[in-house]
Parts: sequence; C-alpha cells; structure tokens
Amino acid sequence: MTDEKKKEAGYEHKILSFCCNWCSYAGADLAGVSRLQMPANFRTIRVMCSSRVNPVYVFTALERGADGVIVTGCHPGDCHYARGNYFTRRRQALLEKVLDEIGFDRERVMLRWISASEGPEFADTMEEFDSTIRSKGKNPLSEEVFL
Amino acid sequence: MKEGHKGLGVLMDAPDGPNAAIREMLRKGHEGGACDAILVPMKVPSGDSYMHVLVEDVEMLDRAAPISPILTVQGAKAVTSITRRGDEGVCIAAVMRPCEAEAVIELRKLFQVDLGHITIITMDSPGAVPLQEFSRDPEEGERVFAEALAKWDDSAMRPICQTCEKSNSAVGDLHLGLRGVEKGKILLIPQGEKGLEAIAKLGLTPDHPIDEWKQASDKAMARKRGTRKSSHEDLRKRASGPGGLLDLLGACINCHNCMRVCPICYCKQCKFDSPELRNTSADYLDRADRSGCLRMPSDMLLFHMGRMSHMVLSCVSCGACEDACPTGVPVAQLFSLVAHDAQERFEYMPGRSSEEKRPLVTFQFEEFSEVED
Amino acid sequence: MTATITIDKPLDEGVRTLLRTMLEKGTVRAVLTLRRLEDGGGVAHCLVTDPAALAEAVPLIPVMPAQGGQVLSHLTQEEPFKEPVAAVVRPCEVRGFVELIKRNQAFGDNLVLISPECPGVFPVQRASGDPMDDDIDAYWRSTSEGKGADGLRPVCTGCELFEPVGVDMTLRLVGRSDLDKALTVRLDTQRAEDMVKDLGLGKAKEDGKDPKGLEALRSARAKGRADLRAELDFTGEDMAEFSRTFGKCISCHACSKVCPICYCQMCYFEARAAAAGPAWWRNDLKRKGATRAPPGTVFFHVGRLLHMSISCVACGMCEDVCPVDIPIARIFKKVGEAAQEVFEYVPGRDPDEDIPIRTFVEDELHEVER
Ligand code: SF4
Ligand code: SF4
Ligand code: SF4
Ligand code: SF4
Ligand code: SF4
Ligand code: FES
Repeated sequence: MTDEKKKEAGYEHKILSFCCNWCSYAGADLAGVSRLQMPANFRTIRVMCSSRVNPVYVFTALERGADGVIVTGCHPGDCHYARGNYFTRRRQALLEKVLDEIGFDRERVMLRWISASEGPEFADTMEEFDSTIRSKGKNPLSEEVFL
Repeated sequence: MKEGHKGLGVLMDAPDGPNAAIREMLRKGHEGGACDAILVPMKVPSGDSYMHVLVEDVEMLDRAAPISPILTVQGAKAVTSITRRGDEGVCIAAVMRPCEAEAVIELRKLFQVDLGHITIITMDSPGAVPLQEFSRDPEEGERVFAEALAKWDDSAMRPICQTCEKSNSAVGDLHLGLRGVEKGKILLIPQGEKGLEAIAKLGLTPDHPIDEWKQASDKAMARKRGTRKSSHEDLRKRASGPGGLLDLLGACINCHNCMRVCPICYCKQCKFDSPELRNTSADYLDRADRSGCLRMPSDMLLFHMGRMSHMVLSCVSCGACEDACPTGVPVAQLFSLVAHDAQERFEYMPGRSSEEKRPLVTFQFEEFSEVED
Repeated sequence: MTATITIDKPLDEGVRTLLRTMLEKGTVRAVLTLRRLEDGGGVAHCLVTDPAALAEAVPLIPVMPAQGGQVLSHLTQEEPFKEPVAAVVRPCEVRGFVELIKRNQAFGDNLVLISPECPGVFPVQRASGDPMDDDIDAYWRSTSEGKGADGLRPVCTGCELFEPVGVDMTLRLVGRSDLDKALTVRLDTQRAEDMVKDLGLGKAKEDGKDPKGLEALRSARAKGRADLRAELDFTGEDMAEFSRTFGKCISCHACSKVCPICYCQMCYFEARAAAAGPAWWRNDLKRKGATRAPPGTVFFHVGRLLHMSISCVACGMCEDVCPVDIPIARIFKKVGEAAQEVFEYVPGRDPDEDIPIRTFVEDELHEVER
C-alpha cells in the first residue's frame, strides 16, 4: 500500500480490545463512570478471562480489518481462574513471534494487565495504544484482496 | 434444457483477444446494472497462478483472466463459498468453464449453492494446463496455453480435457462462443430467461445466427468423443482383472486430497475421514492377521470405492482431483470413466439442468428389472 | 556406553532380518515398516504380522508416503498395544508421534521404536513405480561418506535432528564404511537389550566411537539449515511477501491433513469457512472492492502456524503433498523453530515435557507485558 493511502485524510482507525471480565473490564467501567477522557476508536469484547483469547482470534480481527488489537487481563497472580493470565502471556509471546516471522508489524498487538481499580491506567493504556495505531495508520491487510 | 436463444446470439468485437472483450462486457454489465459483483478468475499478485475473485470494484477487472490457463479452485467451490448461506440478493455474474458450471448445477441440487441471483457465464474451453506442470514453470504454462487457445489444439492440456465432451457446451446462462466464430469476434449466446435478461441489460439484441459456432462445436466435440472412447477402452482394460484397479491406484498415499478438492464432495465431515473408520489397536492387529499384513493408513480402496459410490453420478469430469493428487494417480480419468458408465445407465447428465433430479433420489416403478433376482 | 549388535546383512536386508527374527521368535506381535505393495509398485507403511510378508519390506527406502507418527497414532489412538509391536520410523516421525502422545492422540506403550540415523528422503512422488533405482546407490554412498545425497527434499537438507532420540534401537548408518556389508544396531534401552539377547543375532558389543562421517553430516546439515532460513525472507510490516507466497495456494488443506500435529477431526478453519455467510464477503467487498473466493487462504496458514507450529517437527510431509509446490514445510520449520526457541522447546524431545502453551513459569516473558 502507498504511504499516502496509509495516512489517508480522515481515516478513522479501528481498535479491538479484549477485556477480562473480572479485572480489566471492571477497570474500563471505572474509567467510564469516572468520566475519564478516552479515545472513541476502540470496541471492546468482554471475555471471562484473558486466557480465553486464542491468538487466532487476534489475528482474525487483524485479517478482518482491525488496525490494532489489545488484550487486557488481571495482573499476574490475580487471575480469577488462578493461572489463566500466565497462559495468556505465553500465547502473546507465541503470537508476537509468529507475526515477526511472517513479516507483520507486531506493534499492532498489545498485552497489558489492568486491575479493577485501575480506571486511570485503563484510560492511559487506551490513549497510548490509540496514538500508536493512529500513527501507524491503516492496517495493510485490510485492503489486500488475495488473503 | 433451457436453450431459449432461438438460434441467435450477439456477435461482439474482440480485437484484443477474448479476455479483453469479456472484461469489457463484464464492466458494461456491471455499469448497466446487470450484476452487482462479478466472480471471475484473476491472476494472483505473484503472477504464478489464477484464483476466483469476487469483484465489486470494476477497476480491478483489469487483472481478470476469464479464460485462464489452469483450473485451481474449482469454480463451483467458489460459488458455494459465497452463496451457501444465501446471497442476500446480491446479483453476481460468475465466469467459469463448462465443467465448473455443471458442478454448480449439481451443487444446487445438493442445496449447497443459491442460484437465485447468480448468472453463470461459460465459454468454449480450450482445456487447461495440468496444474502441477504450470506451478513448476508458469511462464512455460502460459505459453503452452496461449498456443492451445490459438490453435484449438488440446494435446498439451490435461488428459481429462482431451476427452471432455462438453468443452464447448453452452452450460451457462450466457455462453461465449469462441470456435467457428469470425476472427476478432466472440459470440455471446443467451440461454434461458436469465440469459435473455442479462443480454437485455447489456443493451444487446441477439441477431447473429449461431449455426457456424454450433457446427464447429459439434465437430470438435464429436472428435473428442472419439478420443474419449478409445481412452476409456484403454483405461477399462487397465482397471479390470485381478489387481487392475489396485494397480491404477498403486501410487495412492491415501491422503484424500482428491476428495477435498472435488466440488461434488461437499461434505464437511467425510465418512471416510471419520472416526467411524478408525479401529482399536487390537482390531488393526486382527485385520493384519487376516492377510499377514495391513496397509496403513488403512482402507485406501474402500475410500475410493466409497467415494465413487457416493458421488460418481454427479461427477462432472472436471479433473480437479487429478490436478491435486500429489502422487500422479489418474484419479479423474478413473472417476470419469466410471461416471460415464454409471450416468449412461441412468441416462443422467450432471449439470444438464437444475430441474432434473439426481438418479438416486428418484425412481420409476418399472425399471432396472435386470438387477432384480 | 551403550551396546550395539552387528547384523551381517546390509541396509534393508539387515533390518528385514532383525524384524523377521523378532516376529518369528515372538519377541513382538507385529511390526510396522515401509513395504512395497505387490500391486502397483507404490510404498506404504504396513502393519505386518506374517514374517513372510516381510519379504517386500523396504524399511529404509528413502521416501515418506505418510508420516509414521500419524500412522502410529491411527493404530493406538483408542488404546495402547497390549503386546510389543516394533515400528521402524524416522526420527522426525518419532518426534511427531511423541507430540501426538502429549496431545492424547496416541499411546506409546509396548511400542518398540527402531529408528535410523536419517540420511533424508526423496520427494514422495518417487515412491511409485521404481524410479529411485538409479539414485539409490549414490544415496547410500553419500550416506557412508557423511554427505547429503542429491535430490533430497529441501527440508531434509536442513534437518539437524537426524539422530533419533527416545527410541529403543538406533540404526547406525551415517558415515559407516561397512554399510554395504553389515548393519549396526545400537540398543538404546534396557528393553532393547533384553529383546535382542534371545534373537541369536550375535552378542552385543560396546558401541564404538562415532565415525567421522557423522560429524561431517552434522555440520553439513547445520549449513543446510542456515541456507534454508536465508532463502525465506518475510521481513516487513505488511506481510506482503508471506501473502504472495500463498497466492497460488488452492486451499486444499492437504498440508494440514498429512501433518502429524494437525490431528483435529474437524479443523477449526474448515468449520469456520463452512459457517461463513454473506456478511463475511460483503464486509470484504466494502473494504477492498474485491475478495478471493473461497476466502481465508492466508488466514488458514497463519492460523495453522498459531495452532501448531510450536510442535512442528519439520518432517516435510506437508511440502511433499502440496500440489502447487509451496515451500510449506520450510516455512513451518522456520517459523516453528523461532516460536520453539522462545520457550526453549524441542518438539518430540521428551514425552514428559509439556507443550509450552500448556504450561508456564511465573517469572518469565516480561517483554510481552507492555
Ligand atoms: S489425492 Fe491421490 S494420493 Fe491422495 S487419496 Fe486421492 S488418489 Fe490417493
Ligand atoms: S471426482 Fe474428480 S473429476 Fe469428478 S467432479 Fe470430483 S474432482 Fe471433478
Ligand atoms: S490448523 Fe488447528 S484446528 Fe486445524 S487441524 Fe491444525 S491444529 Fe487442528
Ligand atoms: S507442519 Fe509440515 S513439517 Fe511441520 S510437522 Fe506438520 S507436516 Fe511436518
Ligand atoms: S497443500 Fe499447498 S495448496 Fe494445499 S492448502 Fe497447503 S499450501 Fe495450499
Ligand atoms: S480472570 Fe482476568 S486474566 Fe484470568
């Protein structure tokens, strides 16, 4: 894709966020009720545990045109299913490695731990990821016909 | 049979070859509202193959190759993938070879496609280059195909194409006649209501007699029927007698790829891939004991015979199976031979008409008394 | 020091002698080996219970008509063998089998694994008829010299794990000057030593020093691996090169069906493709103006990489069957090894080692917590 197209004027990027029910989703909620400033470009899918997010789902979103995907979960040790997020971390490591190897910008995916009480952290994270993705522009896969 | 062309077609200019003319026609059809999207083979970015692409943005049609040198994914599979769950009223013009179109019609009878809004466009097919040959050397493949198309000489095309008796049959709602047509022209032949409707939307009037095309086609197909007969005889000889069939299938590694690329084998879970055919270790040992030795993965012959019994009445002899066989088993030729015999028995022609019932889902009270004891 | 026995017959004949003796003496109930099919000249894995049927066995013929690990899984998926069964399989087939055991798709009990130091195999197309005759002498000559033979599948030329692990007997082939006369079998387990004791195939001796050729092949393979890796360059941010490579993929999924690791009865990607409705392609049309049909070709390959490359044993089976010559095994080997390195995992090394994505360490991988 050409650079001009990437930075296409007025392109509104799309971010998908997976939030675990017990911590991050509650954190998002808190950010919401506290009326913290947050970017409007992300859509959230609530999952019971971050470990419910198979790397294939993340890639599905990318293949279907999302410009960035963020997975959030409880801090290590705090997972409500005791060990889920340790598996999440391994999957993320696998995902990032595979993306690296096949030549896809792995900065379009991100993993972060956010607890139920970390409303401001949730807002900051979204702000940070949003600006990363904004500067990267359109996901090149979203316009590739031969996928 | 739909026919409906009343012996008349539309003679279209094709100064830059048939592909350019067909692209132009598709573009016009899209602009004129004859369709919302077009399904057509397109050269892939790496330039070493062709794939069916559903196009809405007609600017992309430049890369389309309506008459492509190879058959990759069987066109009927492409149509299934789009319409299996309904088409939401999107009108699609689908360009494909006659054997692909016939498979679409069979799949319609098997409830795997929705033809409600699809207009099928077929063309006289010069045959296709063997897929594996093309993959190894695409440039040479292109050259071989261009020559076959220019001379209508199928001797370098797939074996199954050389014996194909419907390479020139007007299967689609619109058929593009290329043979026996004035140089630099192609003949657009409408079939049935959909065809006439499409022609009308293209703003064309069928006014050109199709006789010459018909004669040329009939002649070509008669010649092919001859080739077919002798090749079937050869194959029948090879396949008969003890071990004959096993001999033909000798190279088979039981990978089931032939089944997976076959348009008629649409089942999500093939019986021959299912746990039903798996045994316990003790059972496998028992089976080995019977002849001292059991080939693994087991049931190779059962797979082929079983598949045959399941689908051969609908086999359209497209050759996709043989193209995808990693070990060069003449599997399409074998299936085509059996298909020929079986279909003849029921006077059935797959893909002839979507109204015709598949032989095994219908019957007459008085028939086949010879199989009754 | 482990023990070896020497059978005074070479190669296939030597292995046949070993297998026949085991079968005749009742040491094993059956053997699994490659065998020529009387009928068509093809080669297939056969479960042999009658010693006479071993006459056509070609245990060392350099082709892989199916992945031996997958075959062993078919045999033992439901229950283990109750009596000893010997199987001659290549090192990558053993590794595939071990990965299947970890996935509860096979039982290793009572299996006596016999595996060669593997000189590599030719493409599977060469299994039918007998087009290998011309090359087979050269193949064994190269092996005895510790060189890679010509005409091997590319993925074999970069295989560094050609010496079997976790087996009962190793057929020592590489770098041996007496290959045309005798077969040296190393007994790697106590079970093997006990079994061989009663076979009358000669007394076990201490294993000698590794021949020079073995070291030579090790370095040749290391170089081969580096070359293979250098050939595939997908670096970039838009996946363009990777996608281009799969432009000609016909989505037949043969690569997955013959893969020992892809054992799933119903592959996720096939189920999903079958379930995709018009919303799928309409969304594509809106974004791209066009879409490939059927959809999801590249997605399947990336998805498969995410599902199973962590366990890819680089057996090359997938590439062998790809009808359009995509270097699929080389790709999976390269990406798989990269993923495996993250977890210091070698698939098939040890049945007791957990698959990395099924286990974890509390204090690790902090670089992915951004
Ligand atoms: S594709 Fe070829 S090798 Fe595979 S099962 Fe069919 S005939 Fe046998
Ligand atoms: S069996 Fe082979 S030739 Fe017949 S329809 Fe299927 S793929 Fe085509
Ligand atoms: S790709 Fe995934 S779902 Fe499909 S067979 Fe392989 S492991 Fe199973
Ligand atoms: S992906 Fe290919 S090389 Fe890897 S284990 Fe599967 S078949 Fe073997
Ligand atoms: S075997 Fe080859 S053509 Fe078939 S799905 Fe795999 S990569 Fe694609
Ligand atoms: S419940 Fe939050 S990460 Fe598992």
